[in-house]
Amino acid sequence: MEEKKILQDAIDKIDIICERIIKKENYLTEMPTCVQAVNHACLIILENNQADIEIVPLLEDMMYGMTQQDEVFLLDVLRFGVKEKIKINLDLDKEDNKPEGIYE
Amino acid sequence: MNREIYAKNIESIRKKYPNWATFIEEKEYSFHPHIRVDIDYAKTGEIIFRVSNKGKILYLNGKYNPSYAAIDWLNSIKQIEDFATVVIIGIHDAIHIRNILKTVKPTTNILIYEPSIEVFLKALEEVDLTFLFTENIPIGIVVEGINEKEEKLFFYNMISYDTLTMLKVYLSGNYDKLFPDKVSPFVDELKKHVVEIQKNWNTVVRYTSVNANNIFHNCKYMYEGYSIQSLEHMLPSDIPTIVVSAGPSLTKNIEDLKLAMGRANIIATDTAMKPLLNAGIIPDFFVVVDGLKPGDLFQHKDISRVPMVTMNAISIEPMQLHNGKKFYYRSGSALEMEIIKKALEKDTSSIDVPDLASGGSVATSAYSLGIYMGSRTIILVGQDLAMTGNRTHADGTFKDKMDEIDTKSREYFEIEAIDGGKVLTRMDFKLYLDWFEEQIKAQSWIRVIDATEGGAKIHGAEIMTLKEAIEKNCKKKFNVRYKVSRMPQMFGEKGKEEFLNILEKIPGKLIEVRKKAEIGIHQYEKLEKISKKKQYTQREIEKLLKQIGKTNKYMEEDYMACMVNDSLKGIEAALRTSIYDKKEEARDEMSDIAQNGKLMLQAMQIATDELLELSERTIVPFTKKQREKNVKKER
Repeated sequence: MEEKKILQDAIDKIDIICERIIKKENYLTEMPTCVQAVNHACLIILENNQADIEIVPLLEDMMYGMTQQDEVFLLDVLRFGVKEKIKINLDLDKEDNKPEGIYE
Repeated sequence: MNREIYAKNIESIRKKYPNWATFIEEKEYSFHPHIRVDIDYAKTGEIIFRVSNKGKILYLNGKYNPSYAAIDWLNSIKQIEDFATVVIIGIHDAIHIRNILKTVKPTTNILIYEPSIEVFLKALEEVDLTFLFTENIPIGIVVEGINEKEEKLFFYNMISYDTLTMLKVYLSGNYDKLFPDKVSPFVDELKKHVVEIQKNWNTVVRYTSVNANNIFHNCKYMYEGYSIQSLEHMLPSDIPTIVVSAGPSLTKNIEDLKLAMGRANIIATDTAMKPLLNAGIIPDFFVVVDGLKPGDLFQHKDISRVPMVTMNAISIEPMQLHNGKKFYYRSGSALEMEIIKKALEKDTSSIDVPDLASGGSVATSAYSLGIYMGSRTIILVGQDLAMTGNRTHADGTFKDKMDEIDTKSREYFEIEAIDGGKVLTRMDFKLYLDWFEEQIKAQSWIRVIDATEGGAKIHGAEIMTLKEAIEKNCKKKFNVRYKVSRMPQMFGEKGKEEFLNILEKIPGKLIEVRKKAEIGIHQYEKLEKISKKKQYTQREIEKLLKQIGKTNKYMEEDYMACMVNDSLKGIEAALRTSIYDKKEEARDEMSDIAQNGKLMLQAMQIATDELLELSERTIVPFTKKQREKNVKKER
């Protein structure tokens, strides 16, 4: 249950950043909390699957977009890279925690 | 480089723009050494671009889902209407362009601007761009370093008043950061074009209700008037023209103008007249352009001593108050054009009335007049084009002591001042400033001296004090007044007779227009009825549309119908932007056409009645009186 919350929190934080970038607002102030939330989410993902080789390049790309202040690159990696990855894990989590039907 | 793609791209360019293909293949372009364009591959396999420019390294599309390019933008604008113009800044991988093109109709105008030739050439090497050069949709492409000079031409052709509200601009990601020195001027130029269209229409709409009134009141003065054509090349080229405007700095150096009297051609703007006359300075001419200028500006005992450069559409009071010589330039009124055309046909001694180039303000017209008269040096005075000392005009113009403006108002913004600092200006002044700078650049043989001693910096003009400018340039004596006193009037005897004939026919012509409008209304009513019927034959419609076409042709071509139409621009402006509103069904569209057409013609009927009444008060008594005078003269 706790894991699910952490994953959802990272998605929410990513959404905030993405929205700010799209609206051309200052997103840098929200970035540290987003990075922290993404880190927590990635730890959970790696704890569940240590063989996940996609996480590190994703984080590298995210860092690249942030340090270069390349909003085009950053928005894409957050939305279609990191968020998608977390979502997949969140969905898996949901599948795992589904209550079993009486007649199933 | 992907040679196959490059060859395909060049081939398709050759078919549409053969000069481009040669230009590219012969490598006639020049590179910017600090711009580097690399390609990278997205996770999904597409090619994406990474550009490095002056220390910045930025991607032009994302690595994880590049096909999403422009989707956020498309979602935010909701729809691209038929006949809309879409300006796309940036070509690079062209994925965004493909996404935008998927949502538009063949009637949409697409203008693509690529600020970097380096990016464009890389795209030619790596991305299939053939669709840009073969699509049925009208696509204009401007690439910096290839055809940037065509930018204005594309604006002119693709963005008009009718489609202004549907204009959409898409700026590709990171282009503003990578190429600010190109993107920003492009956007500024686009904004300028939009403001210009709006301004022109606002001027037309602002003046048209008063336009007809002014013309009907003023045209009688043409009878004994003069044409500016007589002034063409009147001056020796070494006699400068001093254009005196009413900017706040005029107060500072007005007295110095006395040194130039008899040594230069002094043209004042209307608003500058009172302070000049009060200072004992009699200019050689003064120019008026405004259809709404208050009469107060011209109430001076000496006003008639100065020849007036005018047109039929200016406000009534200045024309009434001024009893001196009136030199006409063309107002564009259909009635005036008819008078001149007929007078010239009947009388070879009559003189045509030409246009006077203008940048929208009276000072720009005065500047053009000076050049038209033959001066090679123009000295600008009182041409602040800014709120020097937080004032709009010199003291003694609209008020003895002008009020200070509210500098906090959003109307004002800073621009470069003549002394290198900053000064506040407003949008209309800035547009006039741009016009002056463009003229100076385009007419390199004309020397322009800014002797305003304040205000905005006019790039391209030499800066001097007025005293210095006069000492250095106004060395020769020249009597402008003497020359003017010997000029013939614009109409000879036969021309004057023809002039009276046309004016006498005006009431009859107005009745004719009214009748035609009535016929047109019946035709539109029929169309409306048909559009409400569920079934109608193609033939029925065609026949009716043919009749409507005939009526519209008359309304567009007959000079009196045009005159009536001109007084209705306000209504037309409201209708024009709705012309391209897409209707769900043809029947709705037809009903709309019928309703709009009927509304226009009904408005024309009202306007015709008003003009008829106006002509009874203005033109009819004038022609009657003039005929009587002529009879007396003959006796």
